Amino acid sequence: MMTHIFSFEWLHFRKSGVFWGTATALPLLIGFSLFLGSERINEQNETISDIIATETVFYDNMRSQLEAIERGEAEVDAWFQNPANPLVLGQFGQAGRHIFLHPNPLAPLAAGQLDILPYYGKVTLTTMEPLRDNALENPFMQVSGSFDFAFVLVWLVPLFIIVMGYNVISSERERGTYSLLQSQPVSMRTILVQKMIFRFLLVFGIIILSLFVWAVLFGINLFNIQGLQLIAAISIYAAFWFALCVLFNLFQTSSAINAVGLTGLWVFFLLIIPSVISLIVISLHPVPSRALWITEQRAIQQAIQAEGDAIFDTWVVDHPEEFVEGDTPQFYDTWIRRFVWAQATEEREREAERQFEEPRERQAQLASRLRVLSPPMTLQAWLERKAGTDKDRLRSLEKEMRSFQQEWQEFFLPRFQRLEFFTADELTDLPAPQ
Amino acid sequence: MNIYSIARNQLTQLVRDKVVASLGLLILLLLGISIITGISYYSEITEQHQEAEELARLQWEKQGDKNPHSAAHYGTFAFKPVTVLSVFEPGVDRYTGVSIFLEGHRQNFAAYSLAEDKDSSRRFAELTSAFIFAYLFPLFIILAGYRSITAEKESGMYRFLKSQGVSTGQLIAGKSLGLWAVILLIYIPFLVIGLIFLFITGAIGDSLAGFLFMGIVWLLYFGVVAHITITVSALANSSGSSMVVLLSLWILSTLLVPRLITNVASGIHPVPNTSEFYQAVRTDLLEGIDGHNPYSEHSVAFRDSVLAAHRVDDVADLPFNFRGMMLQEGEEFEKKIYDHHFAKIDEIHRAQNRLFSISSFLSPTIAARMSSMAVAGTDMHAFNHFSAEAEAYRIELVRELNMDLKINAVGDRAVGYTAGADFFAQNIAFTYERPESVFVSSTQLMPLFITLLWFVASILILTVAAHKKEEI
Repeated sequence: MMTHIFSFEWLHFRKSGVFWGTATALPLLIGFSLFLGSERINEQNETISDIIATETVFYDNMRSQLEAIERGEAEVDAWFQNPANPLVLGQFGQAGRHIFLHPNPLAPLAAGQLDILPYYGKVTLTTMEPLRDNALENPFMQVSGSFDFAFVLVWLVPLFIIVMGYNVISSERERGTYSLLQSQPVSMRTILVQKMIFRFLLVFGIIILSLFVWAVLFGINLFNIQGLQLIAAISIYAAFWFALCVLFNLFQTSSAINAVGLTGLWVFFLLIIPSVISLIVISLHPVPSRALWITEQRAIQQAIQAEGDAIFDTWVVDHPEEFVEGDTPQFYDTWIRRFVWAQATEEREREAERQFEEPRERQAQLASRLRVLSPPMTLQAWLERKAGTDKDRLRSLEKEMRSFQQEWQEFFLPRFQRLEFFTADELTDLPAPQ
Repeated sequence: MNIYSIARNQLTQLVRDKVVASLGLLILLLLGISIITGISYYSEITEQHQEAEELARLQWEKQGDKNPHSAAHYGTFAFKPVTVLSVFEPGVDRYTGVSIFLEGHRQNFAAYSLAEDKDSSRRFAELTSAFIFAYLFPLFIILAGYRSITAEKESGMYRFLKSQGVSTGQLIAGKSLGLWAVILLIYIPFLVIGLIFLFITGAIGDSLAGFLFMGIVWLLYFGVVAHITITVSALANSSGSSMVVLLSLWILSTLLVPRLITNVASGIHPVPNTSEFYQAVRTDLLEGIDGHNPYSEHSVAFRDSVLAAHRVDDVADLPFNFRGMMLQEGEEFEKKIYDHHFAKIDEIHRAQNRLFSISSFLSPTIAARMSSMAVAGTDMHAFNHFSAEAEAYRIELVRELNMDLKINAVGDRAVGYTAGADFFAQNIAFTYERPESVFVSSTQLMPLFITLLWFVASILILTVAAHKKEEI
């Protein structure tokens, strides 16, 4: 029976504008979204390799300068130009390392929060600066959001499904072929379900086929476990919307009412629930104002400045072995204090930063619980996680920067504190992020 | 006469239609919530900003005795104010930084956007009046109107009406009026509540023009949707196909084109990334005067010219503090370089905006949204205006500091010169004045013009449809 219905459906679909429309539009939309996605990743990779190259050139220069000095072929005029000085190597100008969140293999699928949060930043001995490429972006883009595969799948695919499935039974009734079908030795439900399965397979096939073909063309590897997970996610999501269509076709309503009802559900899941969730989340766990935070930060800096001498004296008492007393160059006296103060500032700022982290985390937790109410939101969040472009991952940049800064400090600070300069040989194994 | 009977009949039908009535109530409810949350957001942010502004000024004045140039490095902040109209149309506000750090030698980007701290679910949808008007209201109009003509045909009423001497034109005009009445039934309460809110907050004087413009923009947009809806309904074979066509147009206008064009625009007119930007600035700075590096080529020439002008051989013999003068010279040079690079970015943004404007010929939503952001003072131009004012303030403040150093750090006081609380308290303070006119840039008029064009075009196609379907 199934093959029978399938073959009739196919004959019917071959002549239908809806089918050809879907079969043309979906692959094109998917293709274009993946094209933009792979462009985005190429750009990211280019930025990353450019920055790494600049960094390498800088340190190679430092080393060759130092070699020249060691051979007696060159001299330095000032301490801040001396490539053996730990400050010159770890803190000033172009010195320091960039930390990157490298794009995941599935990153082309979802732009996620990349337009808001940075994916790389620069670390020196005292600074951690996330580089906000979006600071230069046209903010209208962030308002509109990205056109990516996640958008096509989460937002548009359900609409194609609705168009394909809203009138499966109701149109039979409206055309007067309903009683013909009823006279067949098959139950109406069987026909409905099998017709829907046919349509599901059709849409699912178009999505998977075009996804994989384009992915191969754009160099995105989906022939792995993640590809399988993606297929599973797509099939569940498509099945969810087809199930809603089945539900509507079970009622004895007209095609028009079905269309209105299904579109209403789409609006409900994609627009109303998310806006209500974000409202609830923000009202229950408000994040304090960044404007006030800025002045708070400043107050911390002022406090450190005021207590500066006391803080430094305490540090000297606690770390006698890390401080050279006596006739030291002026930059040493200046910078050894700065490092102590920077550390104190950082500790207090981190304490103050908690007032943002905590509500943010609570917001995220509550949102992830409420998200279950809307399958589109759940899928979007899942895709962003797979792509590594969700807020959690992008926020982890800060943690990575902090942990690398520690490594960087452990390498340079003891040498600076003991006023031991570097030799050219030592510059070959400066710490670098993995 | 016929037209008004049809319109009245249409209105009664729609109000009695449970689906339409409950959707209308839902929209009113959502609008109510959006205004309440918008107001609480606005008052909270305004309060915090005022507090932060006062604190920042206090911190500046009480920074202690220090060399004016150290004070320039210490810097201060400009906080982006929120407009009253952001209650209805937050525009790009949540995506631009809340404050700019103002210091000597460099121009910084605005930092800390609200979007960074908020949960990402709001990227799906956000309960604001603008969001409801741009996305949900058109859907409501489509739902209310997609069957207006097709249903008459499907029920056989159409032929009956014809036999009564009703022309297609009259039918279409009546149906359009009926649909307009429903739209106004929901929209007018919103306008009244908005006006009351503006009146209560005392912002009516400054924001009335913007609010009225915004009101008109959305009304034009609703008109476009309503006219297209009736046209499609008049031309469609069945209610089902009318619905599918209208929904496709809705998707195209609200979802597809806006997302596509922003991605295409950033592909065609890409902005450099931050490190490229800084690299370019740095390269240019190295070529020029650097206040901290008096040995560079330019500064040596500058020093020599100053020495020659005063006929002395050593900067110590000058009647003023040369370092103060040098720093100011360097500052102005740096400003030129930053301005040059920021102007390039601005040019890219303008090119992108031109593409958005062009794309709004495909999507009235883009035209309406850009217009409403413009009149609400929450678009990119408004933000740029604030940044420019902050930058003008920065350069003036730094000039005051350098001049103090130049004039006062002389003679015995030259070494270890510091300025005190008196001086810092006198320094110019930043108060951002919003431009008085609704529009800050002539390019903002473009989307408004396109919205109007859409409105006129939608009436035209409605008229064409009315004349075309005379038969049957």
